[in-house]
Amino acid sequence: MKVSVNWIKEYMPDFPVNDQVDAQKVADRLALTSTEVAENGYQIPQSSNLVVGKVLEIRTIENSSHLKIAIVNAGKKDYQIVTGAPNIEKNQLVVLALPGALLPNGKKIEATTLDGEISQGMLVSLQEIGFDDSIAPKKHEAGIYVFPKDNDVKVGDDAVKALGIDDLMIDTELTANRGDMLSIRGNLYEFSALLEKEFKLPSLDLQESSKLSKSQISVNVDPKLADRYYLRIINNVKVEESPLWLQRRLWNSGLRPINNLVDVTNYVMLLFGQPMHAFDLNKLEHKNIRVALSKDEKFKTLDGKTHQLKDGEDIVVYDDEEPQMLAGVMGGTKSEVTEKTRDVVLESAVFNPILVRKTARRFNLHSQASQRFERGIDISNCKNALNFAAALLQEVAGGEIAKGIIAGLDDQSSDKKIKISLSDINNYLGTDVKLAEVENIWQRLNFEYDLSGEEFVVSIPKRRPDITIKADLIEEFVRIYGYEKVPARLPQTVNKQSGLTVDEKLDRAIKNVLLGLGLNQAISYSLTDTEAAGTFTLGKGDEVSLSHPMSQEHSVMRQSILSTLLQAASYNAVREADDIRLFESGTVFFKQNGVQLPKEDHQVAGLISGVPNSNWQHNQKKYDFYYIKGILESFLSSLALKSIISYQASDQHKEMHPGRTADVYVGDHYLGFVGQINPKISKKYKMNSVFVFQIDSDLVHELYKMNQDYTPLDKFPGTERDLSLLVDKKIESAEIERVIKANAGNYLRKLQVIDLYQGKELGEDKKSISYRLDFVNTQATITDAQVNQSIKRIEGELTKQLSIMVR
Amino acid sequence: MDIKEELEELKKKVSVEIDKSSSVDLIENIRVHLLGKKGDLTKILKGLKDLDPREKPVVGQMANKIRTQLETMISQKKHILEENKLDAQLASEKIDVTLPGETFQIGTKHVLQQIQDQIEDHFLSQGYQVMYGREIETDEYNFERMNLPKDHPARDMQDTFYLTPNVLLRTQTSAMQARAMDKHDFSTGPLKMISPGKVYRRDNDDATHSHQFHQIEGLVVGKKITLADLKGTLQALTDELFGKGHAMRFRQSYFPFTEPSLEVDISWNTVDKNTASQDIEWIEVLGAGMVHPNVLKMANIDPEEYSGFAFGLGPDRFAMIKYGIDDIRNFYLDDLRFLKQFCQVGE
Repeated sequence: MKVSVNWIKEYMPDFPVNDQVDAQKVADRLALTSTEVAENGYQIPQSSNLVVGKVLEIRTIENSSHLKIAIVNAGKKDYQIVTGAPNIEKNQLVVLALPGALLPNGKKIEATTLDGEISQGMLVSLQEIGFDDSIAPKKHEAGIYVFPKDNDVKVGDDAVKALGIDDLMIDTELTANRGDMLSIRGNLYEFSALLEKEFKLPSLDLQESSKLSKSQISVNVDPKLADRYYLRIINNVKVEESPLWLQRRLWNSGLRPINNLVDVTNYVMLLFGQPMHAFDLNKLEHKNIRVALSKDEKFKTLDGKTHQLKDGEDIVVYDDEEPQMLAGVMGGTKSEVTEKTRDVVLESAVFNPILVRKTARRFNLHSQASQRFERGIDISNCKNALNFAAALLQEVAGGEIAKGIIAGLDDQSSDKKIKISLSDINNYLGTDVKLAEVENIWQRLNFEYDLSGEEFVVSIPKRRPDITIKADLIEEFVRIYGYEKVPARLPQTVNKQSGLTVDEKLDRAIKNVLLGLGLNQAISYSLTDTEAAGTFTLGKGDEVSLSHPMSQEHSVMRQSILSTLLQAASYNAVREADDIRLFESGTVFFKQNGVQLPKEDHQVAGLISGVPNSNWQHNQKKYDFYYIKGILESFLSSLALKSIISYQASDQHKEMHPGRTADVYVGDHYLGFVGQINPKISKKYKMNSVFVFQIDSDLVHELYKMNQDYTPLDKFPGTERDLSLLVDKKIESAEIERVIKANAGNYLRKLQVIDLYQGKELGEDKKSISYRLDFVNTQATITDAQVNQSIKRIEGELTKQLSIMVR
Repeated sequence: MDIKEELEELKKKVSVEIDKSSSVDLIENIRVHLLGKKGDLTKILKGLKDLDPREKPVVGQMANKIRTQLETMISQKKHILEENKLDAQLASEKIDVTLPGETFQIGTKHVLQQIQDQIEDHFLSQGYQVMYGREIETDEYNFERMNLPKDHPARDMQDTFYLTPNVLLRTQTSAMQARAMDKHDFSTGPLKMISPGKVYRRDNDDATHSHQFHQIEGLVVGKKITLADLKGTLQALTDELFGKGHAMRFRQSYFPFTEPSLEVDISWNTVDKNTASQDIEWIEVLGAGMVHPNVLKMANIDPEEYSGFAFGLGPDRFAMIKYGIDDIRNFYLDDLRFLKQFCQVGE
């Protein structure tokens, strides 16, 4: 809320703000103890050389189609001004920009000649001196600004002061609990508590006529929909432009002055935080006000829009069966007040905040009124605000206030009382404050209390509906007391043994090993598009989608890490990264039928593409399948899983290359896959060869071997033998290794592929593959005879089982 | 010349030769000429047999002594020459050591992960446990158990991605608070936990907004937990993250699940007692407060007996402040030029 310093000072003369530096000090204080402050300063720029002038004479200019000469008196001197303003009239008080004035739009005023006539300045509109279109009165839309008849200005006055725009504004950004600060009154209480200054709220005497309200209108309110509902009738008002003092308050607060009737309701809302509505009594055909829930019906609001209401959703103020207002949100055109309104019904009510909030959201009609109703209104001031408004309306628009207030609901419950002891406060805050300090703060907050021993019973005024329990009251105390005075220490608790759990350690280890293997950690978006979400999945399951996504791009939860990691890789590829190495450890999501919450699985995926680490010593070799498989093998071997890891060729992954993909198993458990992304897919992502793996990290956790095995070191030397085999190309190495291992006897310690050769001279369908076998006997030095026996058996079985020729 | 003189003469001659020799080959040549089967010393020693038996041991001793002396001289000289030869070879082997080495690529830990690990380690050392929560939560845990019933105006602060009317992408790691309290056995002592993870809000992505970001929640519930404890805990955390010497302050705020509720600022610059207040540059780093009694009650914890504090911070925001990162989207686009800037060693 934009809080006017001058308005505050009207009721709190000692409010210590005289300039922008002072305002900043108060704003800083508010920011620490109350609420954030968006900014503070002037609502409208402070231009110089603007004076109040009086139009003495208007002359036409020969041969000029629209320009006229105005002789304007600015106190000491008369000026000749050439103007095109269509609304200029003799005797008007206007704003004259004298030579030297610099307007906010950058225009500099100078004496000039227009259509052959000297012009010694310019008559300006409010917009030209910096008023926003949304706050400038519409009355002067077509021309220059003219001061209203009811004003307190003199010719020659500084126009900035005359318009009241030299008023500093402190613009607070309120949290949802501080609805009380959406009024000048609430801010007075707040400033009084913070700054320890006195204030006096305004009051007006109410003079009622003999004409009864009751005979003019009847009211019926559903008590579930409102806590308070009051009406007053003012007869024979004269609707016209408001006096200047009233307009100043409104435009400085960011509201547009409209006419004295509407302006009074807005003024009272700003002053007391009580939204108020005015109906034209004569437009209410049935004179029977009903507050009830909506029916299926159409309703046209004041902004000209028609809304379709549904049965039982919104609070509506009806005249008999005709809707007149979306209660707490916006009135309707049917009973709208205009310049012609003579008899007014003023409404002051406290509607159900939840229903008002729903209505405002449903129709996207967030008004000054709905904002206040949603956050809670001081029900104890509802009637007072109405009386004040009626008296003020009479003051500015004449008429007679009909006798009696019409109460639809008038429940006078007493203030809530909260018991709180000194030790409650000190135990909660860790402080050692004294009784007198607490008393002082209740007093500063204007909270009444009883004290017996060290126990308070504090009465919570109805202007603070946010305070309902002891903790709320402790917060009130400490924010005024000052958080800086609260000591700082660590909790005095007995610490249990703590540390990362085995699973958490493993999670960190997984990341660290992959980092060590040269992959960079990525964190990508969990929300992706429908096309990508279901790709590269490890399991089957339905997708989890948002009910109202903001964009197609982020509408579904990913079901695999690769689906989003590939997008990240593509992002890098189009930015010409030539060595892309990424991994991500994260969560994937599947719908579970019959279960409320989707399944959250965890996966780790790695991706490489491009050319590794170029160096001047050797030629660049592109990444290939064996590079990513090597990373995965190194990674898995570092984790020490419970069972043996095996790789099986697979052409079952539709996103993967059918001839360059392997499924990975740990024992019988399916862990994931490794391979090249199908070039048809990678091409879509603007990439060539992309090599990836993706594994189920929940399974890694399950199969993680907590206790390592130890094998005693060999005491005797071993022997190594190489086997070169000429084999059919179709035979996989795993098959050959299986035969070797099965027939090597007990002494084979290690088996590795040391060479692979494919050349025309071997024949199109042949390859030469060489293995190195390490033999060790743990009991004695192994003999040639023992090794030869094994080799002979291996060679025999290879020939027999796989028709392999030993070279 | 008798044998003695011959020996002396030989010693003199060979000593000069050794001295003058300039290569390993030459010195080897000298050794062969002196000590070989047909060598000069061998030849002289052959004359020993003709000597008087009384003189034999004397001359023999002398010959052995000279032999030893010359052998030593040869081997010493040879050693020097070999060293020199090696030095010359090493000098010729000079390479350009300024050419780049064969590097081994090491990946870079994501900057958000680095901050998360650092914060986890900090709290683990103080007896906290780390709890990872679900990313898809029920409305109940995300909001209602956090004292945010349906239609609470504060729900506007957190626009939510819903899957169904009661299931949503969590908007805050606070959703883990109630789960942690439900799970904890308070007879074993206070609950002290942190919970890091991804959260989601309906926000249009731009430089300062992201529909996905990270939070780390902290929660302590026990007997006699106070606001002062919260203050000390957060001061220790900011000391850890920003270094000592940064001032911290609490500002009044509002969260439905804490009472009092606070925003916590730290000074960007280091300050001491003499720093003028207008010279302190405050930055907002986290939200905190005392656990709202309603939140405790909903977890069947008696707020008259137990109290607690909670705090939530954003690693994304922390990283942006710490490194001056100007666009939050950088954290999730995984541009390698971005990722690789944050070396985790030495942080």
